[in-house]
Amino acid sequence: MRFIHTGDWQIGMKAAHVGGAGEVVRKSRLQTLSRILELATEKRIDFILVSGDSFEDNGVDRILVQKVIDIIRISSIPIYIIPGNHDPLVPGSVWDYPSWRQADNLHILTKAEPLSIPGGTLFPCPLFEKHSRKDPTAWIRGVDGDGIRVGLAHGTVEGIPQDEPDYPIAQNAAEQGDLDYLAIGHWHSTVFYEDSSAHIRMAYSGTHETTKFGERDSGNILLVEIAEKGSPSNVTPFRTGALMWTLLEKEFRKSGDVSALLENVDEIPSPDSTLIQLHLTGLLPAAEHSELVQLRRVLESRFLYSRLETEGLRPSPEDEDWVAELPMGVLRETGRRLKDLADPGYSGIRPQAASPEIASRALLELYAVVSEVAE
Amino acid sequence: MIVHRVWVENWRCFIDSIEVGPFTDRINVLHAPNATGKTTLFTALLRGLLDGHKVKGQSVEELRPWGRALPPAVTVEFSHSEARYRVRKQFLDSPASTLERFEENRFVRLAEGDAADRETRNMISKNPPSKGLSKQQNWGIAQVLWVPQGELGYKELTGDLVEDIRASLGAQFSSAGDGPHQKRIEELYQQYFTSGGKLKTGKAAPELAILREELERTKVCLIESVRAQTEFEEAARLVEDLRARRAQARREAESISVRLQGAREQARVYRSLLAEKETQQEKTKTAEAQYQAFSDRIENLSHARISVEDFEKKILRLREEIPQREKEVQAHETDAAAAKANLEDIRNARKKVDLASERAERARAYTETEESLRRLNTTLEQIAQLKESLNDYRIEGAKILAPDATKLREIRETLRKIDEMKVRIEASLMHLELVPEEDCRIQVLEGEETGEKNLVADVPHEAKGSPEVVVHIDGFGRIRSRGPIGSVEDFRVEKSKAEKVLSDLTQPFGTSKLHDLEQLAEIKDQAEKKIAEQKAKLSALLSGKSFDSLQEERNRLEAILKNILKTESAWNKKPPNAESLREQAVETKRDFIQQVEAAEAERDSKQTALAAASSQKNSLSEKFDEAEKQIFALKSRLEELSKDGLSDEERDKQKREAALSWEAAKEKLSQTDEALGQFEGNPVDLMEKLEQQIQTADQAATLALEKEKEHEGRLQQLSAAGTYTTLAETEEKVSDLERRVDEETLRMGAIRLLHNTMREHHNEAMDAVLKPVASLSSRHLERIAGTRFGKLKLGETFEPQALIPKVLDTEIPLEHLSGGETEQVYLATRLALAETLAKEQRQMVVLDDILTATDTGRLARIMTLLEEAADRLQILILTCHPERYGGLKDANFIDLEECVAKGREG
Repeated sequence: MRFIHTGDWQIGMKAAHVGGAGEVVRKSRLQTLSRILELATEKRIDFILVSGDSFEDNGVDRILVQKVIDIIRISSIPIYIIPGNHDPLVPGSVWDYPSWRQADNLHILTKAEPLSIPGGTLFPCPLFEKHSRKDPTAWIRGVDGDGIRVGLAHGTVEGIPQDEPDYPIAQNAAEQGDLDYLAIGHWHSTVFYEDSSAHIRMAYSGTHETTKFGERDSGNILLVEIAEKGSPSNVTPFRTGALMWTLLEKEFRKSGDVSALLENVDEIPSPDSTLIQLHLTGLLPAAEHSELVQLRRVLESRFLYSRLETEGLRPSPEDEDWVAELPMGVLRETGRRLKDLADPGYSGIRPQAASPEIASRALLELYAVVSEVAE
Repeated sequence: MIVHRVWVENWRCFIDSIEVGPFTDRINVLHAPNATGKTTLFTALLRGLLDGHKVKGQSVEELRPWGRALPPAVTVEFSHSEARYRVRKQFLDSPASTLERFEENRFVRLAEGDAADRETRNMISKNPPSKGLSKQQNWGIAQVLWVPQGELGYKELTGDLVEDIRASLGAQFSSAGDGPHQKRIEELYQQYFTSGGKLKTGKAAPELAILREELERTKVCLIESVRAQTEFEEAARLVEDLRARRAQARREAESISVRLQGAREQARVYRSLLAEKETQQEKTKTAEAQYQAFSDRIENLSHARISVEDFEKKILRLREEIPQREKEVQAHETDAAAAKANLEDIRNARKKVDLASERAERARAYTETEESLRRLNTTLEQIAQLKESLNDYRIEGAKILAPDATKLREIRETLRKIDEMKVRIEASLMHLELVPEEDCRIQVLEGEETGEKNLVADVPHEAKGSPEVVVHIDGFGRIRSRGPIGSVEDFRVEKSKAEKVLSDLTQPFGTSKLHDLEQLAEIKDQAEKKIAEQKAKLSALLSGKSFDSLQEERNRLEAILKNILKTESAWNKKPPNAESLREQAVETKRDFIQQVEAAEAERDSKQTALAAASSQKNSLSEKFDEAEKQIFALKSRLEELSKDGLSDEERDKQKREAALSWEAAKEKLSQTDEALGQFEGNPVDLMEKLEQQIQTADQAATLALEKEKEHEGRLQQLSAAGTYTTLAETEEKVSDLERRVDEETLRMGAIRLLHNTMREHHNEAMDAVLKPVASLSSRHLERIAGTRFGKLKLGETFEPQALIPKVLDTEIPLEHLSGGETEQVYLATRLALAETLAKEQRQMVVLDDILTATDTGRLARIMTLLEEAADRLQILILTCHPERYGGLKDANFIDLEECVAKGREG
C-alpha cells in the first residue's frame, strides 16, 4: 500500500497577521494542492488521505470550494477526506456543497465505519462539531477490517500542551486500534509517533503550506508505504510549501550593524515568495537612521510581505556627539531632553505621550531636520 | 553710542550750515518752536549714521532745501566703544562719505565711501537696507533708542536687535544657527497639526487621519462581517438543533403510541365497573331509605305515647297551683295600696318646709338691707359735710388775687428783658469821666443828663450819652466824645415796651414787685390745693356715683324694709336672728326629705312583690294552656302514625326484613369498589393524556420540520455568501490598517513631542530673556502711574502686549488704555530696553516730541526716571515746550533757533 498523507490545508485561511499579503497566502495554499496531486502521480500512489481541516471554516466562499473540487477532479487518484474541527460536518458545512459530486475520485467520509480501500480497510473518524473531549478514534478498537488497517483522524495527541482536551488521541491509539498506520491532522508541524517497536505507526503530516511566522517544520506532506498487514510503515516527508516565512531578530550593538543587516537581507533568495518579519533591538546611531529607512524600503519593495519592528531600538549613546554639536540654545536643549526621554530607565517626570519609543523616534526626526537644514 | 555734535547743510529747511551741540552725555533738551527743524535734524542724524551716501530716489531728493539744487550734507561727531568718531556724508550731488577717528588730539580718516558707510552703520545695526533709505527695521538698536515724533509705540522689534537684546541679557536663548531648525520643526508640525495641537482634517489632513478614517470604516465592515459569520454559525447550529428536535419528537410519538394501546383497554374495563357501581349505589340507597322509614315510624309512635302521658300529669299539677297564686296576688295588692297612701300623707307636709325657708330668707334680706341703709346714711352725712367745707375754701380762694404760674412766668420774662435792656442801654452810652485838679464848673451840652455841673477837685464825674457826649469846660473849651450811633435808642424802645408789658401784667395784683407777686401766688396755690384735696375726698365717697343716685338708693332700701315689716311687724321692735331662722328652715327641710324617701322605698318594695306574684300566676296559666294544646297535637300524631293498621309486633318484623335487604346491597357495592381500587389513577385520564401527548409530539415534529426547512434555506443563503472569507479579508485589512496607523501614530507622536519639547525650551528661554526687561518696564510704569497697572507683559520681540493688574485675573489689552497711559507704557518699555542695551556702553536715546498726552504729575515722575536713566544713557529730548522739562536737573537746554541764527550769521 502506498499513499500520501496530508491535511490541514486550511483553504480560505485568514492571514490578518500579514495584512495585504493575505490574498497571496490564500492563493498559494490552493496552488500547492496541485503540486501534491502532481507528486501523487509521480510517486504512483494508491490514494491520498486528507486528515481534516481542509477548509479554514465552513463559511468560506463557495468559489474556493469549487476551486478545490476543480483541482481534485483533474486527478483520478482516490482521495479520502474527513471533516475536521474547522470544517465539521454540520448543517451548512462545506460538505453540503452539491458540486462535490463532480469529483468522482473524491470520498467525503461522513460516518465512523470501516471502509474498504485498495489493499486494506480504512477507519475514518469524521468530526461533527468544533470542540469535544471525546477521542475520535475510540470506536476503532475491536472493529474488524481486512488487509492493512489504516486510520484517518483529526485531534490532539496526548502530550501536546493544551488548556482543555480537544479531541484527545492517545499516543498509542494506532496500537489500541490495531492499525498499521494512523494518519492524523490538526497540528501544523510534521510529527511522527513510534510504537513500542520504534516503528512509525502514527503521524501528523502537518500543513502543506506554512500558515504563520515561527511555525516549526510545516509545509510538508508524507509519503507512506506499507508492505503488508503488520509490517512497519515507511514514512517519507516531502516539502510542498511554496512560501518562505522568515522571522529574524537582530540586535544592533555597534555602528555598521544596520549596513550588515541590509546586506544580509539583500542576499535572501526569492523575496517575492518570502514573508519576512524583522524584530530589531539595541542601539541605533542617528547617523544610521537613513540606512534603516533604506532597509525598510528594500523590505517593502522586494518581499511578498515584510514587517519591520523597531520599537526595541534606542538612540545610541554616541548620539550625545551630534546632540552636543547642535546649535546652542533651544535646539540643543531639545535634543538633550529627547535623549533623556528615549531612555527607558529615565526616572524624571515624563510628559504625556512621551514614551521611550516616541522619544527615540522624535530624536530621529530631529536628526533628520538637522541633516536637512545642513544640506 | 553717544552723539556730541551735528552739523547739517543744505538739508530741507536748513540752507546754511548749522551746528547743533555740543551735547552733554546726560540729558539734552533741544527746543524750538514748531517748523523750526527739530525733526529734520533728527532725520539728518539717522541718515548720517545709517544710510549709504549713494542712495537715490524721490525720498532722498526730498532732503534738498525746497526749491534749491543743493546737495544735502550732514556731519555727526560721536563716541562708540570708548573711541570718538566723526562721519560726514554728502548725498545726491557728488556723494561722499568719510569716517574719521579722533586720534592724538585730531580726527584722522578711518574710511571713505561705502566702507565709511558700512563701518558707521555696523556700530548701530547689523541689518542694512537692500537699497534706498533705511527703514525702521534697519535701524538696529536705534529702533529702541530713537523715537521719532508720534512713533513712541511699536509692534515688534526686528532683525538682529532682538538677538542683541537677548545677548545683552546673557540668555542662552538661541544661537545664530538655531532659527532654521526651529522654523523647519515648526513647519513640520504645522504640516500635520493645527495650531490647537490637533491633527489636521479635510484636504490638509495627514495620512494618519486618512488611515484612521479608513480604519474606522473598515472596522464597521468588520463588525458586519463578524455579525454575518456569527449568523451563519448560529443558523447552522439552529438547523442542527431543529433536526435533533424533530427526531426527538418522532421518537417520543412512537413511545407514546405503545403506551396508549394499553391505556385504552384499561379505560374500557374501568368505565364498565363505574357504570355497575352507579347501579349498586342506587339500590343501596333505596334499601337504606326503606329501613329508615320503618325504624322512624316505630320510634315516633313510642315517643308520642310517652309525651301524652307527661302532659296529662302536668295539667293536673297546674290546676292545683294556680288558685294559690291568685290569693298571693290579692295580699300583695293590699300592701301596695297602704304604702302609697302613707307616701301621700308625708308629701302633704311640704308646705311647712317652704314657709320656714321663706321666713329665713326674709330675715336675711331684712338684716342686710338694714345694714346697707345704715352705711349709706353715714356716707351721705360725710358728703354733706365735705360739700360745706369745699364751698368755704372756694370762697376763701376767690378772695386771693394772685398771678397764676403762666402769668408769673411772663412777668419774670418781662423783668429779665427790662434788666437786659438797661444793661444794653448802659453799655451803649458814651462814658466820659472827668477828674478836675481844682473845683470847676462844666456844662454838659449833649448827654444823658445835660446842663451845668459843678465838679470837685479829684472827685471823678461821669457824663454819659449817646451817640455823643459834649461837655463844655470853662477855661478849657469843649470836649466831644462820639461812639456807636443808633443802638441805645433801640434798646430804650425795647425797654419801654417791656415796662408797658410789665405794667399790664401786674396791674390786677396791685404790685409789680416780683417778690410780692410770688408770695401772692404761693398763698393762692395753697388755697387751690385745699380745694383739690376736698374734691378728691368727695370723689372718693361718691365712688363714681352722683349724690342724687345715692339718695335714691337710700329710698329704695327704706322701701324694702317697710315691705318686710308689713309681714313681720314684730321685727320693728326686735330685729330677727337671720342665721338661726336659716338653720331652722334647713333642719325642717332635711327631716321632710328623709320621711319622703323612706315612704317611697316602702311603696316600691310592695309594688315589686305584687308584680312578681302577678307574673308567676300568669305564667302558670300560660303553661296550662300550652299543655292542653300539646296533648291535642300528640293525639293527632298518634292517629296519623297508626294509620298503617299494623300492630307493634308486625312493625318490628317489617323493620328487620328491611335491614337485611340494605346489608346485601352494601356488600355488592363494596365488591365493585374493590375492583375499581385495583386501578392506579383514572385510566381514562391517562388515555386522554397520552392521546394529547402523541398529538403534541406529532405537531412538534411537524413544526420542527417546517422550521428546519425554513432555516436550511437561510443557511444555504449564508453559506453561499462565504461569510468567513469576507471576514478574513476584512480582518486582514483592519490588521494592515492598524499596523499602518500605529506606524503613523508613532511618527506623528514623535513630531508632536519634538515640537512640544522645542516650544517648551523656547518658552523657557523666552521667559528668561523677557522677565528682566518686563520686570524693569513694570517697575518704571509703577513709578510713573502707580501700582494699579500691575505687571507689564511683553511679546517675544519685546513689544508690550498687555497689563496684568494685581487685583484681576485677566489681562488688559493696551487698546483699553488712554492715550497718555499708552505712551507711558511704551516709554517705560523703551527705557528698560535702552538700559539693557547700555550695559556695555553709554547709548543715546532720542525722544522727539513725545509724551504729549501725559499729565503734569506723571511727567514730573518721568523726569525723575529720565534723570536716573541718564546715569547710563545720553538723552536727547526734542520739544517745542522746553518749559515742560524745566524741572530736569542739570539738563543741557539747546535753543535750535539760536543755532540756526548762528548758522545764518556764518
